[in-house]
Amino acid sequence: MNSAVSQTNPRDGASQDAKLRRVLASKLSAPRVRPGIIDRPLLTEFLISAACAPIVLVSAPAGYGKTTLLALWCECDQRPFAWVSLEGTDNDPVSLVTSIVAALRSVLNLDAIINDALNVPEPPLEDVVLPSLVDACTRCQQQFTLVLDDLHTVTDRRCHAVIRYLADRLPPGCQLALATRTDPLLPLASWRAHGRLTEFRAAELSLDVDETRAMLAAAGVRLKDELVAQLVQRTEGWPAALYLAALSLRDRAEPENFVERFAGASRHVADFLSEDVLDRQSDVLVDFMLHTCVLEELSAPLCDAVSGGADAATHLRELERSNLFVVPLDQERSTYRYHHLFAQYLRAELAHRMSNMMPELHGRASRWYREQRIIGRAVAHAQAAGDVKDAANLVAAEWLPMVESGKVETVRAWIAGFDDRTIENHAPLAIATAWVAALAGDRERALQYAEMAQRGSWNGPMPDGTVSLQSALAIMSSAFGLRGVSGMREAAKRAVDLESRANGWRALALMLLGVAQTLEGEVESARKSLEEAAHLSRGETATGTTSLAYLALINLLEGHETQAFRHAQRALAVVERPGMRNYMPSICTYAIVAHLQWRRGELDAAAVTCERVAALLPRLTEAYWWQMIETRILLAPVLAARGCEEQAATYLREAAGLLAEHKDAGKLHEWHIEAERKLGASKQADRSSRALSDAEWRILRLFASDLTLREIGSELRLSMNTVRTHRRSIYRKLGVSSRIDAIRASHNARRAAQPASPG
Amino acid sequence: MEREQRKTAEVNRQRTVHIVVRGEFGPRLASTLPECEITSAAGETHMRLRVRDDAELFGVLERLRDLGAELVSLSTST
Repeated sequence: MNSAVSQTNPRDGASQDAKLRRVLASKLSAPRVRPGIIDRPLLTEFLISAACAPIVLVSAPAGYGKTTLLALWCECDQRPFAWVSLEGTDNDPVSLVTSIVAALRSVLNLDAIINDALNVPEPPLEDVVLPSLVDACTRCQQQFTLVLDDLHTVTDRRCHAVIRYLADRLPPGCQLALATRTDPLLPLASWRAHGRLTEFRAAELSLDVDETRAMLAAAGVRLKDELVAQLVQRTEGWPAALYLAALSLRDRAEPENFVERFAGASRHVADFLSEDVLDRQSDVLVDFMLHTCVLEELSAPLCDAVSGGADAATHLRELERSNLFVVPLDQERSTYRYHHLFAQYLRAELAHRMSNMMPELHGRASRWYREQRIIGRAVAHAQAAGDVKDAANLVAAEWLPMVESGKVETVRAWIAGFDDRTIENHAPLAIATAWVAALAGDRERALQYAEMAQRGSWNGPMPDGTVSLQSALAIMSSAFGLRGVSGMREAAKRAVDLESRANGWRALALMLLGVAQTLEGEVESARKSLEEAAHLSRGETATGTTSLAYLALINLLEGHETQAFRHAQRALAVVERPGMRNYMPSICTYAIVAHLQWRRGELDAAAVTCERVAALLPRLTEAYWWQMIETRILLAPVLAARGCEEQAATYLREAAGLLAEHKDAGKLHEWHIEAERKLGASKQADRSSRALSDAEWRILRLFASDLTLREIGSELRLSMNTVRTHRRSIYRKLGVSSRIDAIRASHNARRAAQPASPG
Repeated sequence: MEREQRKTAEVNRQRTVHIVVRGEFGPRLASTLPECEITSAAGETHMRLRVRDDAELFGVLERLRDLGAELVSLSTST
């Protein structure tokens, strides 16, 4: 089942890799303002005075000083700033929220519940995390500004929904500041119209003559006013170009000549200036910059690893001292990044001078990040290096823990970075692709890649920890029920034999075997498989809960309701944990629990459980057709008892449709027929019991007590004869001949039927 | 059959794009857009390239945006 993919990380069954969730500290601090950056008091004052507008948008092309403006604001505002520098790896709602929560934690006391809710597969963002976050912000009564810098790197629609959610609900006195090169997909027009938005665009951010003069002076460049004006005109006040110009002009004997040459040139402004700036640096430093420009973040160890040198710390200090567009990212000055625009020009230079180096540099960066267990960046660099095999190995090894930590979008983006031919030639990657498609509900795609993997080959253990391609294929084939229930059992058996070590994969294989055996009616062997699976997974993971749920189902089939309830309760305790509740494989536990609650007449409790099922049902995809059928069969009588007969009938019709497609479905056919029969019978019983008069109902209810007929009469203030007449009528209408049968019949009428099948 | 249909659909989305940006790109900037045929003159850079679909076109525009290039015009022809 879905749990197949779920939680079965054999390397680390108990918890996810904590480092996967680590948010890089350097992403969360406001960049220090570089010396030589001019203060922009007019803009920052305006920002401070605009505190009534909850949203600040700084939208302008690269090099307009967006980050600098926000950093200046941060330095002169009384309120604390929570800062997130976004990058491509945040283009996943879960990553985004994780980063935001980590940033807010630096300014607020946040409940543990938020972390708990995030620290699970498929975190419930809209239901738990975001409401708790807003709630915590409100309760803290601490005014703050949340900065999302480089928002253009985030394009996922659901990421924008997260930002919109926060923008609409931040408590008064708090502000959300967004810096971007592209206007984001947010209701800007509406915010503007309601006075909720303060905007800074290229026009506001351009430097005027006075600001340019101040900036040049800070860089030690003195120019005549007309030359300053010429510079501003040529660059149209583009701050990045003006800073480059200042670097070019520094220590120049005849600055006038340079300005005139620049003003007269028709070359692209930044192209011209950056080339000039580079020409004026030492070869060693330029070499270092070219080797490190592929990095999104510069730390001495990483730079050394990528450049192959040992002097990165010295070079980085040198770059900072000479203002060469490095932005310090932390107080300790241990991490920097190049100014984005400058990095682009460095990369252009690299491509121009030694394009063959580019893949090698990305490859080194990928290896370094992998050693540090910063997987997102490791994959991004491996893909940028064009080392397809390396990237494929990495994704095939890391997709499962990523999915388990809820970052399905991240994995999907990784996979989208490969073309079909690559996937076809890399069986483990094809398997990962199939699983991810199945989890997303795309059965067709899942089957397509499953077949692709089947045609492939692989020597030795798989990157995901399964012992071989055969085993991985068997587990997948079994989970998807590719060859019916009998095929499911055979494949699971093969996987159990292959996965001889006691780990998560063996537990999963055993669970699937147990499920198939249950569906085939081989109750005894099923019990053995499921018990071992539950034992191996300590009943904790989705494999564990699913095993327990199936053990409960077996108990129910044998008529041992109490035992069934005990198993189901154990599974329920796990799936009710924060996050697990929203995890698709939990549906199996909820379905059996709802069914058992109904049998015990606990209709209120069953109603709550049904809601949990309903929330997960849309995520249960046709890849797990057998689970879809079973869930519907288990739930139909519960719904009928709650008066939702239409819905119950729909479930059974849907189950029938699925059964028509999947003929090899074992006992599911019988259970379905039985469920349909009972739904029909209960309807009929319902009709006949409705025919009872109110007085008859009152008497029938008292039949269940141990009152005698005379006592019933006095209770209802009726004569003995009247009670006898009513009794005759009740027996006739229910088609029974004794008091005990009448009670039973009325029971059935109200609660639908309940025999020894889950139907 | 299906694969062929997809091929046809892909061909239908192919277009030639003509992009003009402000400022002349030197050989260094030109080398960041190897798929484009680039000519620079009169303070402008003209780029001509064949794209498979919109996604590819927007990818090129994003790269130009990241270089700080100012868009003057864009036209497409099949």
